[in-house]
Amino acid sequence: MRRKSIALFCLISFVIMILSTTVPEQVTYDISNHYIENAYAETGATNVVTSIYLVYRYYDTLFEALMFLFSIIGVVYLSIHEGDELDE
Amino acid sequence: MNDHSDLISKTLPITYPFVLLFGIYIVVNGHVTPGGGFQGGAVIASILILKYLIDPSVETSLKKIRTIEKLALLLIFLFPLGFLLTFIHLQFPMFNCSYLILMNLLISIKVACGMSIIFIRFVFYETR
Amino acid sequence: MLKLALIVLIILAIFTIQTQKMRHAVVYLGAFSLTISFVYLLYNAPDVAIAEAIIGSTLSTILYLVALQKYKIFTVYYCLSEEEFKDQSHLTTEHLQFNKLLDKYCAKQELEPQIIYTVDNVDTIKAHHQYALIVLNESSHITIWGHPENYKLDSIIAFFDSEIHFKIPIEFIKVEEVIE
Repeated sequence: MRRKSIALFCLISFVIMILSTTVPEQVTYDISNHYIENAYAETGATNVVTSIYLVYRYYDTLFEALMFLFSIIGVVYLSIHEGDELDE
Repeated sequence: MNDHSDLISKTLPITYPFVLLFGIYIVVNGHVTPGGGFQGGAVIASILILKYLIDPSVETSLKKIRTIEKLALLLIFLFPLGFLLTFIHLQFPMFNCSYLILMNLLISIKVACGMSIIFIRFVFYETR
Repeated sequence: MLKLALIVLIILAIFTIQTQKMRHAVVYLGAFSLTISFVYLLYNAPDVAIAEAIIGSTLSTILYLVALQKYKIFTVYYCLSEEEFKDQSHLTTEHLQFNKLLDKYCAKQELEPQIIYTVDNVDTIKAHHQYALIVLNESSHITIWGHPENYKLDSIIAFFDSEIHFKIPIEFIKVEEVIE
């Protein structure tokens, strides 16, 4: 019974949130247009996605790599049992 | 999985060079065609997973893979710091292409090593 | 084309939820990953499509199948004394009946039983080996050791309680976890 009431609550709040968001008519996407138009001239890459994640937003790639290292540390730590050589 | 399948253990050693070539192609042409470092790294990681499918009882040593991965992460940190964050790339635009290829290669090495470490660690060490 | 692929997605998801066996669900999830990679391509995102095809179809499916396989094996250590170990025709009817009940339980839960007959005593088995159950057959009753975190232990207790033909009383001991 409790689960059903929680599910109903989530559903109703989701519907309310969808219906109450309004998108303004004139949305200016200045920076994305700048990226699409100037990517080849500034970076020399035809693929816009590559130019974004390697030149324009390099910080995100950097911390993504760091987070990957943390997840590997977590997996290795959680699967160590006694009797293993700890260097492996 | 007591008896190994002959079909897999005899065809996979023939096909894995093509998978490796395909992965390197995705990585190196990351700045022209869709692809890039992350996708190519995942393709190369699937080769080491294939090695598990051929013979599930062979244990691979993880020490070399871990050192390679740490080295790749260090280079990912250091190399663009000198190139991007000091804004040299506006004065020498001819090095842009090689910078992109080098960064894609480093990212793919890191992702491939990382995924294979996670997989091997899970599969071989979780039983104890 | 896009609408067709989306409908196939919903059908595969419904199949995944309502299937009875786990292996079928894993295969449906693999097909789901493949279809959604195709949908990403139809939405003009080829990089995401490549990554999803590799990670969702290959890596994730293999990890699930390996995990299912590892939990399938059910190891039972059977402690015998020295003379019973050398002459295995001494096995009594209770022993055979116990074996048959164990096989019936494992067949019901889709496990693979692996019975190891050993001469070591219980403490060495607890310290050195990986076990699911340890069975010791004494004269008047049978003692079974099991780890309390092994969730199959409760279902085994319920199963043996419901078997009224088995006359010998069974004593279950739960091993405490030793943290060093």
